[in-house]
Amino acid sequence: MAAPRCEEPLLICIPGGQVPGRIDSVLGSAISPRRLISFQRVKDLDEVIPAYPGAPVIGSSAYVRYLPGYTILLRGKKGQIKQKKYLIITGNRGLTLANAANSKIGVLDFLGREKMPVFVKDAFGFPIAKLKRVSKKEDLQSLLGMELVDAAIIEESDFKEMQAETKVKLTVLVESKPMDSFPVFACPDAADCGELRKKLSGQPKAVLETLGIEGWE
Amino acid sequence: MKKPALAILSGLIFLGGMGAPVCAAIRLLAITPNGEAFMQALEGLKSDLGDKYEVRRFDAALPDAADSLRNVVRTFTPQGLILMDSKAIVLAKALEKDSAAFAHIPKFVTMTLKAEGAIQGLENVAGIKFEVPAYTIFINLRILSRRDFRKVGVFYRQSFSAFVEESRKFLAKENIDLAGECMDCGGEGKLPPGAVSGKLRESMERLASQRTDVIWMLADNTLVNETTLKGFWLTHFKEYGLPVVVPLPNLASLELNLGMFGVWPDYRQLGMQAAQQIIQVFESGETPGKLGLEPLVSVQTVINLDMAQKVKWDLNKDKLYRVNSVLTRK
Repeated sequence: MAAPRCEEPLLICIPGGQVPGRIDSVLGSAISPRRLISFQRVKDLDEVIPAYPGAPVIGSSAYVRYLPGYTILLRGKKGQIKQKKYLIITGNRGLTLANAANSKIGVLDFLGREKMPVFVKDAFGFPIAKLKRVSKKEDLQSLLGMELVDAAIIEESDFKEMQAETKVKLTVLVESKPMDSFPVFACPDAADCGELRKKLSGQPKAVLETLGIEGWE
Repeated sequence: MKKPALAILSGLIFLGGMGAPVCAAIRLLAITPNGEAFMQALEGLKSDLGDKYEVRRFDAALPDAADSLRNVVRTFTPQGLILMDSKAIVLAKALEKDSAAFAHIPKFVTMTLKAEGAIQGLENVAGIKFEVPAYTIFINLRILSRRDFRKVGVFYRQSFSAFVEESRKFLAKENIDLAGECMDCGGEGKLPPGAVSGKLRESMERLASQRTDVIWMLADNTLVNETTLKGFWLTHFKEYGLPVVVPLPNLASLELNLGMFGVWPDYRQLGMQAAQQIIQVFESGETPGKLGLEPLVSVQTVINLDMAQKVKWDLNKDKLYRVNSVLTRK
């Protein structure tokens, strides 16, 4: 007789979102008794996934798209919005779209160092040679303020907040095409994740906000 | 500028023939002391570099470190050195003295306070400074605060002057004025340990009279130690009822009841930042000298809510999720 199968933990990685400790405390009890492990960096999730084959994952749709064998069961959304635009913003008046591709540009790393340039090229239609990656959203502000980069790539919805947090005059250089990037819930085996899917679908908005979304579809 | 021969060679390592690719990993030797923070930084660095790089650690605290290091260098033949802490820099300088060829090897310095001074005489160096920049600290504090603030006060020694000046320049962009009180700039020479608390008290009078909103405590053992904690920080300073931003989490603890906001390096992210410089050198052909020493970017934070209440600092509760630890007895 086969040994009973242990439930794999739910692995969560929302770079730039809430700190892992907060996700653990808010969502951990909601999905109990299943364990939850959250990560701040995609790289850390990448390293752990092989140790939990079959583990369900909540991550950005751009990340999950590159995960072999996973099926998306729930897609996060905010109101009726399902896609996000990204902006290249700058506090450097000398920077133009013509020289942006050769400038140093900061970005929140939600895909890892190999995949991030591919995503950026896809989003903006041109490659950026010098991407400076960070793992926390607030670090982009430091990169800009201390002139370690000429510009930064941010989500369109974060622009007002970033403007409010600095006296540096930030302007938009270019916006991306709409990209799928809200968190999604995915599993290698949909049948194994039915119960968890149900639990996640039933979470109130306040809990889902720790994942940066307001609902699922 | 002439590119270092080893950097060029390492770029060629990935070029295979028509058959199976030759993928020898780039060999890096990390010279570090023991300690949790160093290990976290090294882990962050290794994790970001991935398997294109072989990172071997050498313990800088070994009693016969210089001789052992020579043996390791002979057998491992590193293409780059990662130097954490001033001991590691001293060891690297000894290696450069042994062999001029060693000067060409790229070196990456981090986890070292006042690294600009420490690397003098060392060639081909890039790195990440270890001091937490004022810009990052006060941008973060402003985001957490309901009130705006215009003036930050800081006590510093002459050896920190360049750092304070750089901080002043970046804070000015945010309309924050940095009022500095130099403890030993008057030409009286080295500050005797017994005189530090008295000097801090005098300087505090001046900062208070300039309507300083918040005090920034630097990570400087001469200004913050057991004697000055008793003789100034936990006694005289507290009478002013001003908030202080501290460089270590224990200084913001509920037990000590001193710091309102603690900010210190995120060691793992610091390693990742250093890894990006290494990648630029070995994969994009940048020279370490051109990259230079860049400021640390990512920090960890703690807020002592009880202290904030005591000094009447109104916090934006909606933003507290950004802080790593929120402390309160209530």
